[in-house]
Amino acid sequence: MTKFRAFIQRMKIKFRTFFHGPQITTIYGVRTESDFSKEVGGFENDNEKTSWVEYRDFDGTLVHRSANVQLKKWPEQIGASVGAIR
Amino acid sequence: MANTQAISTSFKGELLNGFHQFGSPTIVSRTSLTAPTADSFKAALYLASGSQGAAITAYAATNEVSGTGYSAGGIAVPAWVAPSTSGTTGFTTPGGSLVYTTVTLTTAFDAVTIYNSTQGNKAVSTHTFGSQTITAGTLTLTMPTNAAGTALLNLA
Repeated sequence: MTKFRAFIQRMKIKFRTFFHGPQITTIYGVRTESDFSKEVGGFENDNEKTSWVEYRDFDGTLVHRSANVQLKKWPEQIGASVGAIR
Repeated sequence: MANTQAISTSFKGELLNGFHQFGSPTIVSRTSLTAPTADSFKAALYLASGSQGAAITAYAATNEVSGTGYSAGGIAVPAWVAPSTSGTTGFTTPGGSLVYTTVTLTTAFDAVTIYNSTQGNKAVSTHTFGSQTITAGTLTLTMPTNAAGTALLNLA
């Protein structure tokens, strides 16, 4: 039953996308992307490369924010050493 | 040619595979001693106001994020790439991204702690990143290149 509901949900999104354009998940549920203002951004440093996308309502309410954080490296090497036999 | 004092590189890879046991701790059975299954690991997110770091020994809910779509304890970590060695380093990395799908986490968070959920939630590592919030969206933590010096876990 859960799989059937998920299938119906996917079909609904495909239907809306076909007729209304790309859909996004918002605090109001799944809505048409073009109904909101979109802003993307990101930054990069030695530790990460991050990008994010935000959608806001006409009154500035944040309705969706997603982020992708690309971890670049292990921040600290685990050292290993052996003791001398004297 | 002189002898050189060193830890065997192969030993580093073998540690990641659990070949060696110097003590006699009480551990959760891995079903078979000769062909053990891999442990399961989880990844929990922590608030920017938290204090995760080298001192933690196990998963704890203190300062963990909470919000719609997020379950306490976090998500399962994809299976790790088979531990390997290169140069004098042993290393491994999860085989896929950590994806927190359709969550709302409005209080800023900046760390993920990976822990062994098979072995009493023992802590493995904490990784920090720029402070984030998520609103009805998805947080994807993409893993670094699985190579010596960049892998998520390095025994150098």
